[in-house]
Amino acid sequence: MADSVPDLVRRAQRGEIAAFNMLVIRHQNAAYSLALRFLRTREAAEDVTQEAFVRAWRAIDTFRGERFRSWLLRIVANAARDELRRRKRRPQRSLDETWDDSDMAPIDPVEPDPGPQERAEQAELRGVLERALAELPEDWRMVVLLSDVHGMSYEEIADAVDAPLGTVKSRLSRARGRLRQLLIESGELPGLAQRRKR
Amino acid sequence: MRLWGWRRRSDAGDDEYPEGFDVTAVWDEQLSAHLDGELDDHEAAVVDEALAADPALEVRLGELAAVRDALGSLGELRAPRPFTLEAPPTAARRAAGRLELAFRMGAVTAAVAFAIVLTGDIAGLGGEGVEGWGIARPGLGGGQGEQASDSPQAAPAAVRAEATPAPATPAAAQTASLAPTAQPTAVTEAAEAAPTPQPTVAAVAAATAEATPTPTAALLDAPALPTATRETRAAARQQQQEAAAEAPAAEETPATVAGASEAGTEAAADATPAATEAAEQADEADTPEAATPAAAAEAAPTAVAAATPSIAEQPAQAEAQDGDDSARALRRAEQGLLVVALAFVGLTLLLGLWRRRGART
Repeated sequence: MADSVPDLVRRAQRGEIAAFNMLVIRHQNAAYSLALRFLRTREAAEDVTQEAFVRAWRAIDTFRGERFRSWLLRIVANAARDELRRRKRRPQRSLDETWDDSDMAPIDPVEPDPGPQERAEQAELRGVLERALAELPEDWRMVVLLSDVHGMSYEEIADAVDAPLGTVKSRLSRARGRLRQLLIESGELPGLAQRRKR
Repeated sequence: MRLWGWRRRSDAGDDEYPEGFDVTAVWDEQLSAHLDGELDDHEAAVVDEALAADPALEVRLGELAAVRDALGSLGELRAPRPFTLEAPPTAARRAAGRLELAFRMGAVTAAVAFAIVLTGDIAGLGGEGVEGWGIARPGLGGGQGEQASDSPQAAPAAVRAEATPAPATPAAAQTASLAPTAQPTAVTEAAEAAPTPQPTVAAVAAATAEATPTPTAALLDAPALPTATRETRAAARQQQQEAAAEAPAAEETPATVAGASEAGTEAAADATPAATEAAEQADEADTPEAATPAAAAEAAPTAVAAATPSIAEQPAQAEAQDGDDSARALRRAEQGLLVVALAFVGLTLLLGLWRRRGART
């Protein structure tokens, strides 16, 4: 019988590293995805993900029954923003220079598409979306990732990014509006809208 | 309610917007929140009314929903590696940390102790040099052995021999051997008075030397005379000569040991320069000229004393043996402390490497 997340959290709070590692395995894809899409470099994303899990282990006693996934992604978001600030203070290479589609290309989606034709279309759409996300301002990007990719509520996002609820709503709407525009320019949006209607 | 776009559009009319401006954009925040179900009932009712009145808003809402769904379809990326954590510092690892600290302290303590002992050894507190470490201590007679001290540094060595509280000088030894009635305490006193000449006793010794066959003088050059240093013997011989010259009366009257001691004490002040001179001539006595008949005669008491250990020699030998033992013990302590310090350092390094390797993984 698989352990439930609350059970694993309780065991982790008692100091069971094995239980915490089971939580890590269950959530590491989400954490890494958020870090990579926000930071746009594989190396930084790995560092931030590992750092986030270390922080989560140290702070596991402060977890008080909210959704563990949201709690963990909040830690990842904070670690990623810390990393971004640190890189801006000591710029070694511009993030834009380090961005490469190949960073995303080798990474398989968790649920691959069934048909070859559809798989190719979705791969193309994914590429467009990833590039569009990369063009968003960082604050907008984080909010739209937390909301639309990871399904967090506005309150959870406000808590994660340490911003008022209204700010979250504003950033999210602007991010979606910009993405809509970018998808129109890339010619992907009409197909998306039609597919959605179907 | 933050439907400012609705109010603006209603209050001012479309003519207020610049040409080409997408009026529906002002609805994005409400439409976006509406998509997510984040509007309260009143806000949702207002947006629904606007959507019903403006088909463009409906289209825009559809496009925003497509964007949102497309983002949702991105899904999660596969982590390139597991991000599981190593076990945090366990009790064993914490104990290893404490052990490493203890090893460090042990290494420091052993090193300090080693330095103290080595410093004491070099400074001569152990009575010997540091030959065990291959370090020659100049001017101190070369340590435990009767090493040749023909160098100019032999003079200070002779002075040091004079200052030694209980040197087993041949004169004192001979005195004891010639006075079997002497008590051990008297012998000890005589030995302590060795730096000062004892004319009467020396005269007796000289007389004995005359009656002793000279071949025994060869024993003087024997390398191993464990109880007395060469400098001490040379000084004693010089004292005998001086005493024989200055106290003929004593030579004529073989006194008892007690009387001899008293006479020696009385003559001590006068003979002090002679003793110093004897020390200065210590090296000269060690030259090949010592093989001359005169030297052989002088050496006779020593030879006799060496050949027949007397009561006076026994404590001297014991003291010398004690010195050797303490020197050996000192050196063993030094080596032991060095080994312990190195062992502690090695263990500290190994533990540190193990702990850091565990921390990295």
